[in-house]
Amino acid sequence: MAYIMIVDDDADLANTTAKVLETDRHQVSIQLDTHGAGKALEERVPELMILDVMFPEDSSAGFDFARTLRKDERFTTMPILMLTAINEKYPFGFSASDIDEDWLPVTEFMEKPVDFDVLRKKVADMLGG
Amino acid sequence: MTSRTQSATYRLPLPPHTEKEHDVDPTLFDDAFLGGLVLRNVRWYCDFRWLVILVFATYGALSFVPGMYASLGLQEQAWWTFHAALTLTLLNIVYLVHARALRRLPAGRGAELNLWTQIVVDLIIVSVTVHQVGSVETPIAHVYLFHIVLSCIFLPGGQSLLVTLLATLFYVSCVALETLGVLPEAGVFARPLLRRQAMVEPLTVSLHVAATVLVWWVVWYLTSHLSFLLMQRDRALLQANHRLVTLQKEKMQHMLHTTHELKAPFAAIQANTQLLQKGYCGELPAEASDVVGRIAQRSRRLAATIQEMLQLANLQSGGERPPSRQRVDLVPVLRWSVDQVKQIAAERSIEIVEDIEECHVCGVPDHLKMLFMNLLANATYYSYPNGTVHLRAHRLPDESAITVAVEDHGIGIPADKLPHVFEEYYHTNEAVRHNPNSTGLGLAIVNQIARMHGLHLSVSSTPGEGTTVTVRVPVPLT
Repeated sequence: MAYIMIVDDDADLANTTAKVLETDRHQVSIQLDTHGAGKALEERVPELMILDVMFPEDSSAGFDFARTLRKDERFTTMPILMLTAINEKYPFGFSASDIDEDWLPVTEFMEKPVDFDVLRKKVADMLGG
Repeated sequence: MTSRTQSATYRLPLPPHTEKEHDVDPTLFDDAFLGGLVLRNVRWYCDFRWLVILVFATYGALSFVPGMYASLGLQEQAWWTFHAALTLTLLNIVYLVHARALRRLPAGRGAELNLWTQIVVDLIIVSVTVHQVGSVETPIAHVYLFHIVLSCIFLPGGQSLLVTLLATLFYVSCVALETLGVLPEAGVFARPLLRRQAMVEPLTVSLHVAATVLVWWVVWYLTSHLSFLLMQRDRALLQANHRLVTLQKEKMQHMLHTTHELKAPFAAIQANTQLLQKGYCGELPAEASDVVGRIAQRSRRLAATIQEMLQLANLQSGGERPPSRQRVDLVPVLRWSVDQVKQIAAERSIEIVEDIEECHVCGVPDHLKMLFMNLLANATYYSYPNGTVHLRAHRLPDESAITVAVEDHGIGIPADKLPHVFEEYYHTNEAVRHNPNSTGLGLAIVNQIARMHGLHLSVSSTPGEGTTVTVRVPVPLT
């Protein structure tokens, strides 16, 4: 059981993901923007963050948020699973092998739509590791 | 302190194409840009001056060849040329050292000061040369034209006019001082009579000077006018280029958002159908589960179609980053492509066998990835279950290109339908029966990329036995 924070502007998708993760007895908090997530992080640091890339006000807010978090020593080791329908570097899809510490400082990457069985396994692996 | 409730006004900027044709974005010609330009001109003047120094030194050195200048009717003693060469060399070194120091801050006025010092000092040295060679009896005065023409090309606006005025002033002063006897007699000709004959009539001298100066002013007018027209064209081109780059970026951003906006709802639909299908909301009756399954499948297909339509539209419109070709390591590109289809292959129990030679090609990595991923996906979709897909990459014997072949042992394509498989939305009946979820766009994307990059692509197929697609990718020039 872990505390997981989902940062995604799509409330529908975030709620669905939360429902799936809660079946594994995780405690899930949902933040609809990176600003709210920043505030929530001050109160409690999650054991895993699921982060979207594109937000309505900024199409790369997720990338920027991940880079900012990695500069703060409180969050340098916090696992981040990035979920997105699209991204700037590979506009039509890319894979986890494209993760590079400078460009995309996250632990894992999954492209939407995600298979929930795969997501649960990935979350379990990331928390276990 | 600004209050959040304070009222604010925002003026919507006009799109770039509504700007006046010759309005130039001021940021394109900022101080740093212009400073850098002047600095380049400073170096160019210095480079050209080395040639002038060489001419002076050579002329002086040749005076040591006995009888050579005498046979040409010229004075043998030419020490002044060594003085001029030495002075110019020292000055050139000073200019270059100063320019090097200015490289760190090209935005200042230092480069302009350097350039103007060069021009004024050069005009003085040209005047000394004109006096030494013969201000009236030789055509040496036209040496001033070098500076007039160069200033028309390199200096902005009215500055070339100032150079022409200075040249006129220096030349007229030189001749006037000679005529008044303030300057000592000089000249390259050995027989002073020739010089004296030319100088005897002040009116002749005046006419000669006036004609010379008139030629300079005509040259100044023509060159500065042409230079102005060219500069205007340059600015218009720069502006047009800037506008195109901006539009390209906007287009790319638009495609990105469109893809996201169209794809994101399908992600939510699929997430919700998964909740129902996988029992997160309790058990569903069999019929309801079947209906949800069909919704999920159609939604997946529509999402894939939208993504491929956008991908193809983007390639066709050249909306993606300009295809600047580069040296690409083909192995990671192919491995990436295989990774993308591993899941589809696993679902169909299809093995992908790689036989890839280490090699580099010339291309655009993202486009190559898209091309090979689509070929591999097609081979996997149209293989029979438990089949094998071969991916081979080898150098041609003459090393001029790499051939990448994707071979499956699947349903194959009838010969009469082969020419159509690269058309958009074309499906053979056999293909629809085997894979009803195909978008019909995968090979159209392959075709578009191959056309963009001039890649030779061939397909050979036997119905019921399989298909091989071969792509020839050029190797980088070494």
